[in-house]
Parts: sequence; C-alpha cells; structure tokens
Amino acid sequence: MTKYNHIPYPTDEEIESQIDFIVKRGLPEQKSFFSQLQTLQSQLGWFNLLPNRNEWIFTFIAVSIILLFVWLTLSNEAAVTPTYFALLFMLSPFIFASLSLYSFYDKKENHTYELEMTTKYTMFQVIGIRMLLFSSFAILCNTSFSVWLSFMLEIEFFRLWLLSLTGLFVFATGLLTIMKSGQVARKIIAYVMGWIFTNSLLIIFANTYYIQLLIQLPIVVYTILIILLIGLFFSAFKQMYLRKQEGIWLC
Amino acid sequence: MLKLENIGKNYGDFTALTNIHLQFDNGIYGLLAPNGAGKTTLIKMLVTLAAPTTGTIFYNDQPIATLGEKYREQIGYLPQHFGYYKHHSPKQYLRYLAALKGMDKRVVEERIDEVLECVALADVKNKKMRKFSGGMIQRVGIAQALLSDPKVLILDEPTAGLDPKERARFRHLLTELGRDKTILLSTHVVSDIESIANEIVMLKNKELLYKANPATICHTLDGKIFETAMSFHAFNDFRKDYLTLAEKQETGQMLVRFFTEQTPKSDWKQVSPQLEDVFLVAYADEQKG
Repeated sequence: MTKYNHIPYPTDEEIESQIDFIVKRGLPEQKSFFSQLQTLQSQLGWFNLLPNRNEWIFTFIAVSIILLFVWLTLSNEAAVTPTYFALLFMLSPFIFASLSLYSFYDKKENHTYELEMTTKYTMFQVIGIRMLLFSSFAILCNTSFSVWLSFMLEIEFFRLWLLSLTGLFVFATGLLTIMKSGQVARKIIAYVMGWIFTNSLLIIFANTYYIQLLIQLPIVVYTILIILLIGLFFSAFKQMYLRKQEGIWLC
Repeated sequence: MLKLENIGKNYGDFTALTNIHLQFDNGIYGLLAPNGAGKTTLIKMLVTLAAPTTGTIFYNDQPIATLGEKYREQIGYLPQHFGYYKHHSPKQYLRYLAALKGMDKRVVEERIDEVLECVALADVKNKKMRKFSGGMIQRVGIAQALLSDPKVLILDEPTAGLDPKERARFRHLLTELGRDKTILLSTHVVSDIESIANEIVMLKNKELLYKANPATICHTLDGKIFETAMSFHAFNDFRKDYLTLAEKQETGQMLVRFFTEQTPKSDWKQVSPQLEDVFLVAYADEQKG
C-alpha cells in the first residue's frame, strides 16, 4: 500500500490538459461552418445547385424582367421621384426572394423533395447554398440600381446602397428565420404578402414621413444596422442550414 | 442494425402509430398492411422525414436523430411517389443524386452504369425520362435507391407499375442484396414478399400485429382455413356466415376457400394457410368497413 503513495499523482491542470489532448487527437477534426459550405459546394458542383432546367429558365426570365424595368425607368427621367427610396427598400429583396422561393416550388411540383430530404446533403442545405449565391447576385443588382438612382436623384450613392442592402437583409433574415421551423410553405407565403402589404401601406398612407425617415436616417445608423443584419443573416442561415428536416411541408 | 423503441406518431389529435417495438438486422423484411394502417408513417420516420412523437429509432445503437447525415449516408430510399425531373435522363438524374448522397466522384460513373444495368435501363440511360413508362420510372427509382450501395434499403411500394417479369427480376435482385443489407419493403401486395421476406411485419389499428417469419405467421391459422364446393345459390348464404378468402367457379359449382374457428363439417377440406389468408383474416374488419 505504501509504495503506491510514492507515485506522483497529476494535478488537476495536468489531468485536464491530458484529457483535452486525448479528446483532440481522438476525435475527427470539426470543420468550421464555412468550410462545411465549401465542401458541399465542391461536392455538388455549380450545375447541381440548379439541377432543373426550369430553374435556369426562371432565373433568366427574372433577371430579364428586372433589367427591362430598370431600362424603362431610366428612359423616363421625369418619373423618378423620392418614392423610389421606399420602392428600393421594398423591392430590393425581390430578386433574392423570387429565385430562392422558386426552388421550393419546383421541388414540391416535381415531388423530388421527399427524396432530396433523405440524402446526405438535404434540400435545405442545397437551397441554403443557392440562397447565398442569390443574395450575392441580389447585392450586385442592388449596387447597380443604387448607382443609377444616385445619378438620377443626385443623392449620394452610399446612402442608397445601404438602404437597398438593409431591405435585402431584413427580408432575407426574416425568410431564413421562418425556414428554421416547420410549416414552411404557409409561413413563407404569409411573410412575403406581409412584406409587400406593410411596405405598400407605408408608401401609400405615410409617404412623406416614411420617405423622410429612409432618406434622413444617418449613414452611421444604416451602417450599424447593416452590420447587425449581416450578423443576424448568417446566424439565421446557419440555423436553417443545420435544422432538422422533419416537417418542412406540413401546411 | 435498426431498432425502434416505443415508437409513436401523432399528427395533432390523430394517432398514426403507437407503441411500436421492432428490430431489423440484415435480411428482407416485408411491411404488410392495408392502406392507412401506418406503413408510410413508419417509413417516413425511418428515413428521417418525420420525427417520432414518442420513442427513439436507433441505428447501430445510436439514435438516428443524433447521427443525422451519417445515418442518411447509410440509407437508400424509394418513396411511394418517386419524383424526378422530366428533362433529365436517368444518367443525369443519378449523377445529381450521387452528388447529394455525397458519393466519391471517382466511382460515380461506374456505379451509375452498374445500377442501371441491374434494373435493365442501360440502353436508355441517356434518354429523357419525359417519355418513360410508369414501370421504367419506377426502375429508375429502384436504381437511385441502390446507387450508394446503402446498408439500409427502404422501399415503399416498389413494385407499383412493374409488369410480372420486372417484378420477378426485382425479387431476385432483392434476394441477392438481402444477404448483407437491411431491406424493408412496404407493400400491400402479399405475393411481392411471400417468397423472399425473412420476416413479415404486420400493422393493425396503429400497432404492431406480427413480426415473424412467414411460416410462423401462417401457423397462427392452422386448422382454421378450409375449402369446400357448393352451388352458386348456397354460396350467397354461405358468405354471410363465413369469412371467404377466395372463390372460383369450377364445373358449375363454386369452390370456396374460407376461414372459420368452428368444428369442421364433413364436406370441408382443411388446407394449409397461406400468407394471403393471414392478411385477409387480419384485416377482415377493415375491408368490410
């Protein structure tokens, strides 16, 4: 008994550090969230992100309509009024929304969702990657539109740009938050209708105050808002991406 | 190995399944029940499309909800309504699904050719599926379920739309695969599984009725299945008193197969129960309803 008393017993710190060492060596390395996204993208390839030809056609039509709208507006300078601020805020997410939501519709229409929800990479994860892609595209469109509008209204580009991004990220964060839970289809329809309805009401009945608020909000407030929203966007995105798949189409 | 412990599923106030305890090892399991008995609900839980309200499903002793993609990697699933993109060829669609299944890109092309060969679609692998018959689409569905060589194969009504020759070919394929896989085959067509299933699982009133090999299940009706011949007129009265399982006209008479627990009469011939008899007896009340 006494001879064992001479074995030096490790301190608590040593025990903890040894446990950490064993766990670190023993467990497979945890990939970061962005590294997981990258793996998924490289596994799928760009073509498989939009596997259905209808999605390519829809994307092409949606982009053409937007370009046509911009071109038509550009050709009539007199029609450009400060109400465009409010419209910019309301319509900014629409490229993003239409492209993202069409994917859901398409899966449901083709009855492929049931299969694509039981594979290693689920439909949510693929749609998640697409949403990131579409949001990048939407940012590009918003930037172009803001450049043009800043010339037309002689207002600083940065303010318009931040305004359009605020619209985009408020909408996108809300959409992703909805997608974290069940009964997705019904909630998404209600959310899109609610977005259009609320913004239209503000434009119609509180036009002056609403536009003044959008125009006069200090740039620093917009910047803080955008940073906050981008943080919320990625947090909601991560939760949606990693959500359990059950119950998506319960309507 | 798949293990279901105390599984139940409610949709609001409606109970779809309750108190299900099952274990599936390697082999072929036939899930046999009439429509509405909870087959599809059970399958949706096994493929992670629905979460059980009570209980846990384990794969190799770990809850499938915890395993997530690690579990989904191990399953091949053919839904009852197999969806596809009409303008895709089988090869294109399988490539897409192979990417979703996370398959190694180096083996995908070879594996696609293998599974399309298995379901006799190799010669139309580059044709658009828009022009395919129901049976051909179903075979694409079977091919995609086999694509990643999954350890667990879950097939919901896989023979729907297949002609007798294709059904026979499919049964042969399953028999080969069942040696080192867990295959769960849901159907209400008894002949699909009678000869190939190691065990039959039957559900009734949202609960488990039987889980045993076909012979054991058939023995539950030993001494209760008979055949007799009678006139057409007598048959109309007979069917009011007995549960008839099959009948056919023969030389101006009706040859009737039926179930009864009464003492046999002299003109009744006792016969060996078949799985079809068990199915009809077990769900007699539902069929009447």
